[in-house]
Amino acid sequence: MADEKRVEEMAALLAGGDRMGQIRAALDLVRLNTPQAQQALISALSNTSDHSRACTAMAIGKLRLGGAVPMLVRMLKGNQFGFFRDRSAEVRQTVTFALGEIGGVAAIKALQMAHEKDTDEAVRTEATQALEKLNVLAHRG
Amino acid sequence: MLVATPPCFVLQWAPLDLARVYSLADTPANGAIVLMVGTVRASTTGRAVRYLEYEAYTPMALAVFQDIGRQVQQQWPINQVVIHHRVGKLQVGEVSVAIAVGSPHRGEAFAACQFAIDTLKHHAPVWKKEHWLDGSSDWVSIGDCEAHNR
Repeated sequence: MADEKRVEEMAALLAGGDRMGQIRAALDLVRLNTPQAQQALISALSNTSDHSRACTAMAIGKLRLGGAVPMLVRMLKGNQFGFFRDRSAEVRQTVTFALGEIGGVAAIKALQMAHEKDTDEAVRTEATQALEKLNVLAHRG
Repeated sequence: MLVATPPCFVLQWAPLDLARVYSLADTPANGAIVLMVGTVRASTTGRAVRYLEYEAYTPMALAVFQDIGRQVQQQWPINQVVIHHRVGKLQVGEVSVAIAVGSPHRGEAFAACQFAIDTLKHHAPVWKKEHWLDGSSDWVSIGDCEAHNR
């Protein structure tokens, strides 16, 4: 019960806190790692604040929540028609980190597309590092 | 691979250079430099540690370091704040984090340095995997053991 209350507080902070508060909330939800905390994080991928979504993606990556991969992939590259890609490069960069932590075929395909085609250099670089970590790309010296 | 700019806020795979951290805070305007060095303990809550692995989400961790620097300079008359943190595999006794604070007087340097390490522990997206001597391992946030080990 105490954990549920804590999850509610952290979800509110993640949605509406300042930047440091959002990071703190995301880290606390990682520490809690209950089913409620995981669900709060998946819901928070739709928060309106760009920085909140970035913090959320970071936390989901750290927890390696495989159930979030379809949503993360859509945020990184859009759906099959190219819609719903996240407008924020900061968010897409963090999503690439998360997909690199989680791994799997769908994550790797999205990372390869981001590595080749994302419009933002930081996203492409993060995708390169993620693919290296997953041993899909050869490590640079 | 890790970003290391500006030089005052760094995450790096290579061993930390304490002389370098100190020198970045060493200017003639200072009358005191406080250097806080965090090292890998041989045991945590009674369990023997074989080694640690540190991981971070680098862009966000560096943003937190910079924010700590801003907060410190807003709260105290501090001239320099330097935060260098290791990632990767660290053996017992190795330096995991070094913070140097330079200011005209020692009182604010001590207070600011305490604030900087406490804030870093609770806000930075940095995690450590403790590899125990019995062969098992656990991921924990670097802030998790604070209540027990301050």
